[in-house]
Amino acid sequence: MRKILFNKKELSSDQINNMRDFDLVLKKVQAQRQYWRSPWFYGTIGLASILSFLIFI
Amino acid sequence: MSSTSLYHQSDTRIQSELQIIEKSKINPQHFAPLYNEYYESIFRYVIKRINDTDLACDITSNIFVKAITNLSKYEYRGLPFSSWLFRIAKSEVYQSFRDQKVKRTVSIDKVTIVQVFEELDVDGLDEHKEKLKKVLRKINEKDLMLIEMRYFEKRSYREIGEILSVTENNAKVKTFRALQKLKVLFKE
Repeated sequence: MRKILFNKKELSSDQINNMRDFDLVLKKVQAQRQYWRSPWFYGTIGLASILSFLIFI
Repeated sequence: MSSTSLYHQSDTRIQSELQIIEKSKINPQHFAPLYNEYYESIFRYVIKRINDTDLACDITSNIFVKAITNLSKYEYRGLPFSSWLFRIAKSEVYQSFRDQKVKRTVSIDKVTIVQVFEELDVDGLDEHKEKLKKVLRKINEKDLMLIEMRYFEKRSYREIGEILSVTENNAKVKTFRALQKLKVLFKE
């Protein structure tokens, strides 16, 4: 069920801009990149593929 | 600040943004000016649909993470960068509805209601306000999205088309049909 808000008090530009955190965004970007680059990621995918193949045959 | 005010941009500004984008593809730290520029409009887009400040803040942050991560896929096709960001924003917001993290919210104000009533050929704000709320709960999500962008956020058909990945003309036709459906529901 949708909630319909009528004349809701909006946050001011200052309040919104105080929530900005570009460092956090960069950290998340870095974490994602490291996750894809991690040998653990490919190792797990590889192991899962081998196991799936073995189960299949 | 309106969520749509950044849409119309000069060529100089578009070119300057493109330079930042190219630099950011190599080093994401260069993306800071675009983050600062668009944070508010993207946040407002999110909070209008998700009435939870903390969650809207998280989602906005994730939108920019996604934008930076996928920046290599961005190609300039004569359209402002903001359209690409809003497209990601739309996808992230709807993902949060699918994950059932949050309830869908529609934010309307007196001015937009009056304009919608004009389109619906209806007089009397107070008598019909509750009816409009009821109808907005009933209408399907795709039609609501169009009405929201066109009438509540005052976006051009071109921008709606870009956000939804359809042509400007198609956006116009779809919005017209959505309004017709709203009219029918309103008169039921």
